[in-house]
Amino acid sequence: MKKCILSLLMLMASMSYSQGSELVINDAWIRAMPPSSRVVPIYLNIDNPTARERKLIGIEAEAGSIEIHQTIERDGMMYMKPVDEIVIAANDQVRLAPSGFHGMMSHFTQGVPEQGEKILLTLIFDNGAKQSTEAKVIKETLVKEVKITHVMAQ
Amino acid sequence: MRIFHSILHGIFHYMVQKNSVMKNIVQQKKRQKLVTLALARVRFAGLLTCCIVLIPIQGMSAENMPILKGIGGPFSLQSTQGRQVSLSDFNDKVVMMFFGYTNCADVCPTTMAHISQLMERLTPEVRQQVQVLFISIDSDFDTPKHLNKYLSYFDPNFIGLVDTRSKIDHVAALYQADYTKLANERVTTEYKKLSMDNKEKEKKQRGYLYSHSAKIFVLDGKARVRGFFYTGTSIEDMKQKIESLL
Repeated sequence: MKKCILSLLMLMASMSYSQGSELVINDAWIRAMPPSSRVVPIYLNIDNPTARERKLIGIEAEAGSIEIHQTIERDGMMYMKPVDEIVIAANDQVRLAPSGFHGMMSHFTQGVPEQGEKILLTLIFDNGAKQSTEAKVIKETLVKEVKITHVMAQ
Repeated sequence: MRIFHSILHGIFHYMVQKNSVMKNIVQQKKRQKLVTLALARVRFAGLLTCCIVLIPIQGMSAENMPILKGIGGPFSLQSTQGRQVSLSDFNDKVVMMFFGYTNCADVCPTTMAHISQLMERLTPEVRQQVQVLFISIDSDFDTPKHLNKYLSYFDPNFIGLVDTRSKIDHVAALYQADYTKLANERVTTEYKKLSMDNKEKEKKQRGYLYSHSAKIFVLDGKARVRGFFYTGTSIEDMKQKIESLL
């Protein structure tokens, strides 16, 4: 009986754990850039299907160091700024996409990521949770599904 | 006799059309109908008449790319060609010009990728009449050599321009392409001087970011600014506009 309760408790614990890291990260990609580059951009989607707000506070990778930046388009100018966190509201999603939020990777440990490579990223959230995802390195001409939504046409 | 009548008819419509163009700019749609009508009537009236009527039609398709006054002008800068390049070197070509820098992670590569996608969609004949210029606003870091490695990755025909800060500032002012640097000025920016030692030092410092114009400047064969494209401008729209300027 004790065993049964224990395993039930463990089951509940594991369920709540999996519900604790319930953010869904997908479509991570890195733009293939010239081998002489010092920076490359990282893009991905984060879904937050929970009732609680979450904040992305960092992205880490063995392959290099990553800062989170935001591009803001105003009056025909593109303003760049580093951001400390990206808020993902409850039941909402955030896109890190061209001309918007993005990760900027630099100081590469194994050179500039090459087309076709997969780079492991670890996303760090404000509650201490860490989630990993694999980013594909691609030239945008091959990324048909990527739509640029943050920049308005003239 | 019948042919002669048709020619007269065509010329008459053309004259009416020409007058209405001059008098009333607002009735553009009506005019387009008239031109179509005139064109239909002169269809059998001979090549000469056809040519006369076609002139205003061609003029119209470029109407949404008006000549912009008070912006632009000639310049000469050091280039990835290993020599000074002047805007006048590209007379009779449509020039697409962008102000950016190679250490830009997001906007610049997005823009370059967008333009190279457009170039792939153009016919080889049209492509030969289009020149892409990338003007680096980061004269502290970018060299013609570095710029060449960067641009040839997107398209080997793109030409990069970089020169002294004052020359770049002059061109940026001509095109009203403002830029500002958000930076930790201690960052080592000389590409040429990068060594293992300061690479280590550099690791501890934050990089720098430029805010800059989002515009892809579109210049016609006479180096006049005719409009702007953005990364959000569809490839099809860009293609049509470029073809209308040739």
